Amino acid sequence: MTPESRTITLPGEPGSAVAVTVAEGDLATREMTLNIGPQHPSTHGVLRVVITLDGERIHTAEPVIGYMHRGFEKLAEARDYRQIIALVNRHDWLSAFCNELGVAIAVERLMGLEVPERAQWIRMLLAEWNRVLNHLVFIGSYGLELGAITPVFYAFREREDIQEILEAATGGRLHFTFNRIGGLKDDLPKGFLRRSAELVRKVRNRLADYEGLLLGNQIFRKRTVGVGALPGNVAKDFGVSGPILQACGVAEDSRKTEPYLRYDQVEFDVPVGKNGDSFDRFWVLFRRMEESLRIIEQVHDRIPSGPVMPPKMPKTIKAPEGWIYQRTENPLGECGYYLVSRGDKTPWRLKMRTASFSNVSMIPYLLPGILVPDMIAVLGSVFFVVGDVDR
Amino acid sequence: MTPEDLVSHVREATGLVERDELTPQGQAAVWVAPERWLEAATHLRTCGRCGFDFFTFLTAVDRGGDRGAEAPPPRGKPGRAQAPSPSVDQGEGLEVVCHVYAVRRQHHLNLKTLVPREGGSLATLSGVWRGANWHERETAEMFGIGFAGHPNLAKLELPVNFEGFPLRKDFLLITREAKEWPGQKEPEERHEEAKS
Repeated sequence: MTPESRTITLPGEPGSAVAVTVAEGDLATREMTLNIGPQHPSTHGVLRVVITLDGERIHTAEPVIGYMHRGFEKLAEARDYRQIIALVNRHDWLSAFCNELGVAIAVERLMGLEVPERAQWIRMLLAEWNRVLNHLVFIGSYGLELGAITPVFYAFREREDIQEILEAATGGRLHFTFNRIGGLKDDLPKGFLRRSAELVRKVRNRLADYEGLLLGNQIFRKRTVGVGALPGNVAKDFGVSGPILQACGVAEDSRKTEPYLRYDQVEFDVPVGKNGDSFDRFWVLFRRMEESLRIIEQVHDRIPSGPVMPPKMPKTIKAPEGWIYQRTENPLGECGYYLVSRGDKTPWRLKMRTASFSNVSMIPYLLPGILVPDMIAVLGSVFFVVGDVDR
Repeated sequence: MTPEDLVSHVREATGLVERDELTPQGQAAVWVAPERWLEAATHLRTCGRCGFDFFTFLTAVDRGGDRGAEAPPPRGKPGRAQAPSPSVDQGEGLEVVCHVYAVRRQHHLNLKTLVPREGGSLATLSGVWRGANWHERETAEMFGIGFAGHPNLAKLELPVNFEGFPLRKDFLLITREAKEWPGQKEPEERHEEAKS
């Protein structure tokens, strides 16, 4: 102990009083454990994070998950493939259509089913609308978390328009259940493409406004630039995918690297950020929406006519023996299904690899060292949906 | 690398591959002995030709069999999804699958091994890929597989006092134990059962 320092005993619960050595002029502090959640506006569901604080700075952070564990993987073993389509669209309720796609494609590939051309293009159209729908939620609610109330009202206005056309096509607002093994439930309703084309123009104009409103806002910049920066190699190590990985400067997008549907026949770019901070993550979201609108426009021009289901479908769908891992680029990142079949009409095992699970597993790395007020700015930009974490 | 090249590279470079699988869909898997699990994974991570830097997932598959005397037999009708089918039989126990991806080289590989149902354990991969940490916690609580050297193998999704390993085939859902599974696979099924 140097002459300038002194020892102070800090009071606490019985048995937890600690003696700390403090330098002259400093205050005696101790680490504090703080519980965030399970109910907190920035957690999009019931995520709980236990953090220890050293003053205002986060020392450790440990997410506690499982509050929404619904045992989908076990349930899938007792459901046939038609029912599984309805089951998987609810783990990530903001990307319902994209979730369905992965299972449908996995089973189709195992069975060697030829999906009609029109169905492939319609799937791509709806999946991209779903992506815009998803990103608008994150953009709107992130503003709210940082104290800007306006963006969420605007974002949800456009969301409503998109919801409406998706509802017109699928009949569902949240759980579309529009995919079928082999194709789609129905063709698009009359006039859908015209309506969709009008909406593309409308959303594109509005997006420019929102970008100015958020990314151009000085307060937004101050709170997000350089906050929660994630290096690309760490992101890959944790299996972090989608917009967060792209914000780190890694151009990984399974629509490009392993095209499914007809993504190899449309033109689009994979946006990448530079610093991997909260600002870049939102910049990437905006760019991704623009690319989605680009894809949607190309689908409008090139969608072929024809049936949406194969002419001859077996009465009961049984995937042949074997296994497959099918990944799709979901709005939040890589969503994959590892399907093991024993030739039955139910899967032997269906592992859901969800983007949010891997994204959240990175939080113990990302939070330590940052200040408490920045925590919300970071958590809100680690894109996750709690249902998708817990499954 | 094509899946074939990748498998033969891993086979030659490590000498650990016991068996490989190439599916008609072009996906590759290599099987290693459980005691060489960490060694094989470390090669995949560090070898420049493999370059597996993206951790996709780790999970297990219950292959059925070797149920053990103390576990109750499934109460559902025999021949339902719960009963193990002997047709895909390359050994019984729990199959552990670790799927990794190389972002720059754009290839995938499944690393697989088989551990016994009772006391099955593997070395942790959380030192190789950080993402393995949570996936191993999940696999441990769902299947009852140990991961030696894991920093914190606490329950992740299940309540702390939960007993049993839900994703094993001999674990029945509570509703199903009380009553025949309500969601029959085909509309006719219940009808036929009622008649018989």
